Amino acid sequence: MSDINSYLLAPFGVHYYNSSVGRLALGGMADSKQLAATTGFFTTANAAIFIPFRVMTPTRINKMFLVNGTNVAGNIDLGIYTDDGIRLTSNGGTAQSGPNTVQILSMSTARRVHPGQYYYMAVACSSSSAGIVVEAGTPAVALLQMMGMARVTSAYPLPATVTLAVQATDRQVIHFGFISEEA
Amino acid sequence: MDLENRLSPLPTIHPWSIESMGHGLQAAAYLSSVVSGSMVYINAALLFPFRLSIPITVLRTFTYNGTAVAGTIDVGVYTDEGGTSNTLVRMFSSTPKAQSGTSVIQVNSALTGTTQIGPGCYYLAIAFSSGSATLFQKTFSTLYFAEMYGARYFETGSATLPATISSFTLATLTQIPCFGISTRSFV
Repeated sequence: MSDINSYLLAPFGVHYYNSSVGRLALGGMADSKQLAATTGFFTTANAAIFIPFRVMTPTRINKMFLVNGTNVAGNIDLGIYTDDGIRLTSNGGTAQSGPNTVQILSMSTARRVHPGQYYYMAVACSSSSAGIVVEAGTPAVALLQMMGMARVTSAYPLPATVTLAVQATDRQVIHFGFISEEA
Repeated sequence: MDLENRLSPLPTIHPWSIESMGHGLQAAAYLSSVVSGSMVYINAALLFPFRLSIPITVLRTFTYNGTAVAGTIDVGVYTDEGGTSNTLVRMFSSTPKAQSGTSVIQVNSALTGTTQIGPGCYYLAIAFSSGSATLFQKTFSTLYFAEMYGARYFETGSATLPATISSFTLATLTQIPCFGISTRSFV
């Protein structure tokens, strides 16, 4: 087995570490593919995609980011949820802007997450024309289920509570994540 | 162990999890892509190690079925041998269930045994009754890699995971099926 603790040590200031494809989220799977990213579109307008992650140390989350694709459209929302679907914080919704850039959104409230449980980072878009960056290869939804992803329909802007459901539709691993800055 | 090292597992644990053979396995250049394939090890227990830093309660087991289904599949968790004992003890299992549904995740909710498992080292286990059963899987191209990564194989003579396992056939396992456990009520 891998040396979990040394492998997961955080390189400070690197967005990748705290992203959906970072080592604390889906990293084990994504690392094998050498992060073969490609641009795409958010599959289902107003749906929300949930990607599980954990932290090694108490971590203050005050911003999140989405890697925009070659096209921007509609509004995006990013947030953090507990494992049982309670929203800890979110942006609330912002127009997507800046093609081919990392768009950073401030959270409505900075919240601290802790070791000992897992959380979800969530992304929702109001438009299926919103350009995003995803893992290449169009993975089967069964693989996404095996990795622990979840999905909620009609979840833009991200609601206060959600009933997490099977990711049975969107064959995407979207590149987004959170930023930790101490106050 | 201090709190900051208590890494919580994600909602699913499978052979590719960091808690299992995870990153090291993925980084190895000797694995094929995940593809559907028939299981060559029938009436045997395939064992893949994983470890926990915090307690979890398992609610479901799952398999990623391949393009054809046949026979039964039993999924469970065993303790690691340790201390003065070389015997693995089954903590819980799904008991053999008919394989159903092609190219989908098959979820089993009725688990028998102790599903609350604490920090420590364990094995994910799976057993098949039919060589026609297919699962999505990866493959070691070199026999000894399985042993090197801690995977084990035990010929039980039955498609039911036994209560205890005390001996192994090493270095003969090449298949790593997509299966695992979930702490959610869905996968």
